[in-house]
Amino acid sequence: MPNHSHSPVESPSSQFLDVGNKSDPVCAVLQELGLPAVRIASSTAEVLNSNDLFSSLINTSALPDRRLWFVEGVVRYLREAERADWEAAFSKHTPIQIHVQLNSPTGRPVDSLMCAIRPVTPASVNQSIVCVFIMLAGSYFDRLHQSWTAEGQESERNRIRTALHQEVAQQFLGAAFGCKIIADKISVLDVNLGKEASDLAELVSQATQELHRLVNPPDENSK
Amino acid sequence: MQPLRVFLVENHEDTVRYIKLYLEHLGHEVFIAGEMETALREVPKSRCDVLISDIGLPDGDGWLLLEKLGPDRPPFAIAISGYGTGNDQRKSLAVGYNSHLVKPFLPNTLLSLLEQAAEEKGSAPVG
Repeated sequence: MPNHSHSPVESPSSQFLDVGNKSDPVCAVLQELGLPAVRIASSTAEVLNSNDLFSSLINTSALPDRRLWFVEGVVRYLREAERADWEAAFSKHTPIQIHVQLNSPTGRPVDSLMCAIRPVTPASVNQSIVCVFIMLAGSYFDRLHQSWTAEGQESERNRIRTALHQEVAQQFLGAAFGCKIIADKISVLDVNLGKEASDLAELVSQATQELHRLVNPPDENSK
Repeated sequence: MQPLRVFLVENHEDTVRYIKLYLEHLGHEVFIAGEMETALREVPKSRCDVLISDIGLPDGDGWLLLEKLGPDRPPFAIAISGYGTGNDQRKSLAVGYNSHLVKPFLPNTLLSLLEQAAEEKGSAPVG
């Protein structure tokens, strides 16, 4: 079982394994996929590399030594049963999936599924384990989903606003002016028909004004 | 209202068509340009009383048009635009437009402004 309490600084394997701040392609790809990931040494569990999503899950201000982020920021929050499973898998270098509740910088617990694998990598980093965190619904995914929904709604509003400005508003303007002309002309020929045409022109005008309000809501600058 | 010579600078086909029809229906003479360059060339020749110009033009904008017209600018100018932020409206007034209408605007709104232009024309000193 690994000694999680010892400082990686003292570890004889530390210098051999430490890839420092060099870019880790696996962590980088997982970052692109929106997955927090950390690469740890297979003997000491010290952090060799991680992506920004992972560091955003860990209360890094309380853990100035980056190499301790996994031991202090993840392992210490494992419940007893999960911790035993993790330590067994860690010592045998076998893949594992366990539930972990991280203590995020915001103070909100973040539920996630941690998948630990030992990837096939070049010799310089082959004594490492990559841990990927999949956020579980109810916390991170909900917020992510809400964020995507909000972005989608804003994008759709912008699309509609642009379409209204570029085409629909122009067509309504034409319709309002066209109806007004027809109503005026019909009024000369037939008073009753002229009244109906005027009502229609008024309806188009009202729709035009309503569209005007929709397209141009009052803003701070117009005050 | 006395007939006016109105120059309309607008590149949207439907907007041009119906505003032109409406202005002619009211008895005004209408000149058209779809681009700023054409307007810069034609407005001085037209000796128009009123300029109605869209702010968004394919080769410039209505603000630049009025600035470039300089002393050739008509005595009354109306900006029309699909965008109606306070900044746009203030900029239109700052460069010399008498009013800034946001599309879609109503025929009666334009009519009121043309009446104002006709009044100003009527009260302007001759020569």
